[in-house]
Amino acid sequence: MPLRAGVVDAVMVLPRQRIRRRKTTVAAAAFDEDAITLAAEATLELLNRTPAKPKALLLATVSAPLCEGGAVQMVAELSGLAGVGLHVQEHGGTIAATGSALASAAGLIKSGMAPVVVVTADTRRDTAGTPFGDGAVAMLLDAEGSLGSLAVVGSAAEAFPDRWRAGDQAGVQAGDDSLLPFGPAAAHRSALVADSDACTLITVDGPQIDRAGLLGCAALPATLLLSGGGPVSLVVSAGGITHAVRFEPGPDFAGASADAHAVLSGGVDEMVQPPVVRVAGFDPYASVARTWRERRQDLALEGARCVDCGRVLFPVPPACPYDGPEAKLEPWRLGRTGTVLTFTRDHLFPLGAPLTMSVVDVDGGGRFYGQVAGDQTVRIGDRVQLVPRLLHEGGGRRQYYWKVRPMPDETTSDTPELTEST
Amino acid sequence: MPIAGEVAIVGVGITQFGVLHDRSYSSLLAEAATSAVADAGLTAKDIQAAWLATAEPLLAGLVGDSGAALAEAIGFAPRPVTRVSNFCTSGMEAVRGAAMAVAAGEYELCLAVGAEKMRDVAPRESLLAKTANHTHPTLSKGRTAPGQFALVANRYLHTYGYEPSLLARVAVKNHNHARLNPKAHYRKPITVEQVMSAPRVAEPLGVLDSTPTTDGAAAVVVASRAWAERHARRYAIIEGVGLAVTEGYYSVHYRDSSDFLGFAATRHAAQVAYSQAGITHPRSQLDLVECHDCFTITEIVNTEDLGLAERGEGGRLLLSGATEAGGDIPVNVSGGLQSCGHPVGATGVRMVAEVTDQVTGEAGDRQVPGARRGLAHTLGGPGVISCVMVIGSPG
Repeated sequence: MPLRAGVVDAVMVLPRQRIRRRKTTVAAAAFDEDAITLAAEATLELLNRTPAKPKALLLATVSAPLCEGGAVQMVAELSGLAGVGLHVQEHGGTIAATGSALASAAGLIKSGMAPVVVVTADTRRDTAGTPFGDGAVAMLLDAEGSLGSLAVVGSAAEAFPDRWRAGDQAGVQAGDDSLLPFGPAAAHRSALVADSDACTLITVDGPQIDRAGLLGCAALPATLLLSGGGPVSLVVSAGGITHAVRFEPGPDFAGASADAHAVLSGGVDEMVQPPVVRVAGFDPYASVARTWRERRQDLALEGARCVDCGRVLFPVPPACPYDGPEAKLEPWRLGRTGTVLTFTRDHLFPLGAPLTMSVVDVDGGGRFYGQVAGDQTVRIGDRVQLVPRLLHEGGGRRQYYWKVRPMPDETTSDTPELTEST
Repeated sequence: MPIAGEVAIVGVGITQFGVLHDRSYSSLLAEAATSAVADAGLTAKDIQAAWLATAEPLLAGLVGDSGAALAEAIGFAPRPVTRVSNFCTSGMEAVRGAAMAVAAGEYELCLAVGAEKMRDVAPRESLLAKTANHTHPTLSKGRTAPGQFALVANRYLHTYGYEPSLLARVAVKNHNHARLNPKAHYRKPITVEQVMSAPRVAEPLGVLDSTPTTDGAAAVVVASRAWAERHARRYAIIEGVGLAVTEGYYSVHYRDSSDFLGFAATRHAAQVAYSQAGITHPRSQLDLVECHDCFTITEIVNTEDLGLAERGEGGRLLLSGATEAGGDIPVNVSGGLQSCGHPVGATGVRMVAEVTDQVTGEAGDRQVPGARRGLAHTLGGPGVISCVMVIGSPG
């Protein structure tokens, strides 16, 4: 088949919070998550599970924070992929963009540019600000893959006004939902797929994945990953753009699917998300020059290691504080796991309070000091991960950084009350 | 060393500390300076140079970020005024600067004054908003001053197994001491229950574990020993002074050099000051200590870092009653930062003034009987800079 790729691995990431939306439960991003952090988290987890040196990173999203400026290069920086030689693409327009990203990936692979990461992520909101269902799926594609193989078997394009969002609008606007049955989705499916009855149709309206929601661009790969284990036929159609995708599972599909199901059934229901407390006057200083100069520090946690004393230094000083300017420093990237040395639950900081701050002894050397993600807290001795998060929007630009998150298998406190330390 | 034993404090002045809405920065500066000068039996015209400590001029309309603030306040023109700022050690930095100039023989009589107007803005918008907004866009976001000491409190309680109520006892002790200090911001006794049930600031610290936000000023007149012997009504001698800077700006929590159980800066500064002053056993060789109790935990670890107790034993020292007025090593009989408050630049000067009064027998109701040698300690950054000064009666 022409537009075909092997799937080496696939990972789904959902925010921790689950809220009720009409008759279903959907995943909802915390105040410090967005499409970029979800995409980066999924990409990082993918590469952690299956180390690879991707030649290309393709992002499909309709919730990129900027209309111009780019999102995929942020994902590249946060995933440690940025640099000369990386080919990136940013697909958008409709939630059918996943099909175009997959088609493009297949073409790149056939031309010898492999492996390719395709990451899909969305945090779409309706006009009332309620999430449709937030999440991300990242896939590692190559000529062959043990998780399976997929192919974009056909496409169609015409104009159909089902959902849209203008640059200055915060929520996705519906046209007239009574128009939806008249849309081209069904006709496109019949035209592109031989056995339409066995084909799942993904549109702006459904299907809802219980405990995830609509998932936007991530809906197609999520549906694929959560499927039963046989061949899958999917059609995604939005705005009149349609792609038909066929997937054949491989020997490693069952394991990856089980992991995705575990992510789906996880999360914390009906979480009372504390309002993000903002005290008047919180307007953090930001400098585009500094943001650029310290991008590797902020986005890749790149520090240094003193060759003389062996200490890991983050952030990087001009000289080793212990051995002075004569000692040589070599670049060093902080690990992404560690152990909590100490912490506090701060009630004063004017964004996100109460929030937990933590000092983490990072595995492999160095320390990290920063916020615990969302509204979670930690205890001394907890095993934690460092995850990419939105830190603030000072100076009108989103500042990404890393936050501390308890490892999933820890029993952690979900309540703000501090447990007595003994 | 030129300072140790050769520089004297010959006059002191402290304003009221509190929420002083009817007082301007300049008027506080002027009051502290003129009362110190008068206490020394001098007039402002006799002073040859001055050091001004103001750490937070942004809160006072950018007044105090230069020595110019003093010229008008006490008619000091055209004499030199050096403005110093070194986090919470600023006040002692001013005294140290004046002491070095006197020890160098450059001047005979200098003024060290610290002043701060912190309450022209509401407390929440003052230091908190400033540090939240203007500091590093990533490395410092989430960082608050109480939060950084809370990291130490949690690690300390976890490591040594003390009950959290230990911290409250510092506040209770120091507020009780302040009953006898009319200049203190807070003067009423409080209970452990009140401290533990006060609103949380950065757990385990609450509002009553924390120094309040306070206006105030303090000044001392610094002279050579020779001048003091000839002219001073009463004077104390700087027997030793150490200043230590241990870490960079945003790096302190990211470096693995800290165990979060104390502050190396205090230990280094104390070592220098003790060595100059000939102190080998501080607990028995000091009669009182004014140390930097910005938060309750800070006093506890300070006593360890200053060598008054072994590592981990600061809690037991506190529980024994030894650091209460009447105990064998009274700590913060003035009420400390807990009760006096912490107009940042003024604090170190206030401590030097307090110890001077104590070792010259002029501490009134708060007098530690027979006090001849005391210590002043400030800590800033938090934790990356410390100044320790040993001050004793002459002879």
